[in-house]
Amino acid sequence: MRTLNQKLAVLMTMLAACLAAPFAAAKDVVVLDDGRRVTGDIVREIEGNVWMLVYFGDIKKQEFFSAASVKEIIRDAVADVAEQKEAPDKDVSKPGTLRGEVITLEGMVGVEFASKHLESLIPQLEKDIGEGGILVLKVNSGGGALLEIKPLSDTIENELKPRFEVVGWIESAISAAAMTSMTMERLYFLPEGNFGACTGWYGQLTAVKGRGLEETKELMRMITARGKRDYRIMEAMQGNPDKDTPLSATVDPDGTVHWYSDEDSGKVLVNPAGEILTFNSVQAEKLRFSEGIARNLDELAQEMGYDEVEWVGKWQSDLIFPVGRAEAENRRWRDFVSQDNQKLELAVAKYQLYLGTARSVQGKARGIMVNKARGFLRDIRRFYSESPNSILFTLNLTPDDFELWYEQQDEILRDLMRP
Amino acid sequence: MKRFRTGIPLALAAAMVGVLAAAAPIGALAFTATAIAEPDDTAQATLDKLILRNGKVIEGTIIRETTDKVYINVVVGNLSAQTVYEQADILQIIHGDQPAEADAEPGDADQAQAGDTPRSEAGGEAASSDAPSVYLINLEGQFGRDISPTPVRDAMEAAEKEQPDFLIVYLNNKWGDLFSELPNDYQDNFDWFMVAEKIVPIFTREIDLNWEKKPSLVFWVRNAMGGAAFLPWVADEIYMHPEGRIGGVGTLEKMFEGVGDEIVRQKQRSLRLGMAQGVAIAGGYDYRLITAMARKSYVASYDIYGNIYERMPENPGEEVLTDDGKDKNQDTMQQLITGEGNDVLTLKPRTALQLGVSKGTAKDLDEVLEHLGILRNHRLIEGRSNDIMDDWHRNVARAERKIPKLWQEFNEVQVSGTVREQTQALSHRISILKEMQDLYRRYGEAFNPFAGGVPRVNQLDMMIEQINIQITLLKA
Repeated sequence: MRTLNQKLAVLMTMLAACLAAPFAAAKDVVVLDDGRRVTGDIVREIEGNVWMLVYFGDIKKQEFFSAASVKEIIRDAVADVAEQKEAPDKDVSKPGTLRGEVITLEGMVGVEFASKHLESLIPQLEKDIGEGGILVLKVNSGGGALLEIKPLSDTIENELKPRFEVVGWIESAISAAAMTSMTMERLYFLPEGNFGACTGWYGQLTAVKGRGLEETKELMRMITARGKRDYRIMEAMQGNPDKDTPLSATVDPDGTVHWYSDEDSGKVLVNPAGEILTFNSVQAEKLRFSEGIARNLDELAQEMGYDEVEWVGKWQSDLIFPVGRAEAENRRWRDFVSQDNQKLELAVAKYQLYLGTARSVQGKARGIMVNKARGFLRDIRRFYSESPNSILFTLNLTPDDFELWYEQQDEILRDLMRP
Repeated sequence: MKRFRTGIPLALAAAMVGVLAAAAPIGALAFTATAIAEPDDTAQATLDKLILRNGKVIEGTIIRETTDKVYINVVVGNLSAQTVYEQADILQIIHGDQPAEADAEPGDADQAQAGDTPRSEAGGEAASSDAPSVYLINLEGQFGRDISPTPVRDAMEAAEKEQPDFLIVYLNNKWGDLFSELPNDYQDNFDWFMVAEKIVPIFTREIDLNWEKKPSLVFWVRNAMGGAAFLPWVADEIYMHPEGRIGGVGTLEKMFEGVGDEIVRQKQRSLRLGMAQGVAIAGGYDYRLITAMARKSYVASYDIYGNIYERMPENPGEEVLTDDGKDKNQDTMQQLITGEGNDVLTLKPRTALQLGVSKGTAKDLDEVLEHLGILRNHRLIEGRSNDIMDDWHRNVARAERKIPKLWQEFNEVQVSGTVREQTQALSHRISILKEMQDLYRRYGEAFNPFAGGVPRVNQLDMMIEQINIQITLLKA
């Protein structure tokens, strides 16, 4: 068995390797206005805005720095010929070759808009648009479960951002959908877009208070930091049962926005005391919360600073974007788990109906009823496999509880078949 | 992207419908009404024409032309008014004594109209073969029931087949209380937005994506109250009927009153307002008008140029759009009855015109066509859309009558006798339930606009499952 010192030595070596990695791979340094120096590979520059791949050990992440925040760029600061030979597969400096895909995040957060599924699309997305491709997360959701916000934010931050250039395209991001979307640094709005109203609640419009509220606030401090946004905006969107959360702002001529948690300090009253903030597309753009308004993909590409993007997929007559293979799978899955048609509710109700009947009859009839019940139980399991949280909202069971429940039901059905 | 329309170009339209006093003078394009002109066929035959870049044709007598402006005495019907157009907005000027350039070539197919007064359909004469086509859809009845997504989509599909140049939607939804026509702008109607937002894309996204030829979408509004108030914002141009109203969605503050915590109520109001504002923004209108319609606490004023200020009037020429509705500012019962309150905004012709929402006031279709500059030369297309809307209205009513009858029939089916007879009876019951399901699927959105009939379809599905169990047990 290795001693503690040996373990520490191994850990130190791993840490040193991690720390060394960025410098070994790095060529450029961006010096920011706040004094920070960020080292990595600049992959794109448009009108002073910089996109850079930065490295944390084996993890690679694309960062965006607005022109206003960049003080200086030192190119080839750490030249490494070997690394230059291992340039990324994709020549992102050629805008004509840049590919993009739209993934729609719709429905209830936690059911149709879920982290596990979003993560499952990554391999197909890599095939569709390649590393560094543009991933547009088009959001249209009225919110949902608070418990899904962090997993979704983690997926966007840790899995999608390192692989793709991720931007949000907001049709409607309300409550948990807005809280999730805060992870993205760059948001574009459809003209009808709206974003906010993040107050946590349950039951008969009862506000989340106490520990639950504080935990949510803390979570959102972390997520707004990921999206490089001022938490005071989210505070005005969340509100607080114990005090008003007004918000005002001043936009400097250079585009810098100063936010104030009161009605008077800023030149623009953003959220009056006693109200909850929801941005529309005009407000969001005016206050630099969004990068712009885009009603279609051409406008989106233009707003992003690209002359041309190859949007992958097939155009459909009812959509404003082509459906790539990843999005096609996304739509198939969402249709299956959709709460709108209440398929899971029906499966649960029918399972209970057949189970109840099976208990009340004997012989061959019982066998038929049990078989029918078993069919619906399997349907319920399929819903669980595709969307674990859907079970929470229908049967009020957590994923762990569901396994126990399923086992128990299976046993009941087997017992009913015993002579 | 279209932006908020100012009040300036509306001056002409105002003059045409006699609301001049409120609209003039307006900046550089100020005009004054002249005496009502006697119709003069000879004069009309030699009228000058301005073809504007937006496709409109203005007829009248040009008084003066400068390098950047054209001063013209516009003649519409029995009215004439002097107005000014920027040269930049004009594509072509055709003087009354000259043939149009395109028509000047001998043998040109369009020569028939060269130099002539375009033939007026309104006057009983045939329009020229290339006259702009006009298609009219009437949206009347109860919003959410008669005016609901399925018939509107079907009506629009029928319109699409005709490929009109102008698609005019006449909106006149039923609105009133027990006594049917008394205006009440304070009903708790904001959630009808949830129905409106299903109709809005039919006029916007679906036209953009699917129509081979995109028409100029015109809303002519007589009553757009409650959920219907969210529809006109999709239009390229809005015209108001002299009795026209857009509103009835306040007050948001009353929504969920007394339920749960205030902060959650505020959240619910905020998200609804944000969504509704988006419809106005997408149409190129000022979202603050939606706020003024919805929030009693919202204070705003406006000036003759159509500018909105989020405060009470401070300067001469400014008027209250909405006050805070508190204490002495609270609307009186009389104001509520006459529809003159200002706690929340109900847009009426004059205000709509001044704010740039409406381009003019029109008491009938001819006046709408006058405003569009095509009264004298257009083709009115007879399509199926209005039949579709009427059929929907009738079919919904029939379905509503039929469902209770089917239910009665279901209950009257006797399940007795042999196994075969019982099975047959149960099968009959299933067929009745399936017929009811079909009616809910087809017309459920009219019975329950918020759920589209889904709950009832599923309930009936469970009943069918129960009968299937009975049949299985009979056979086992």
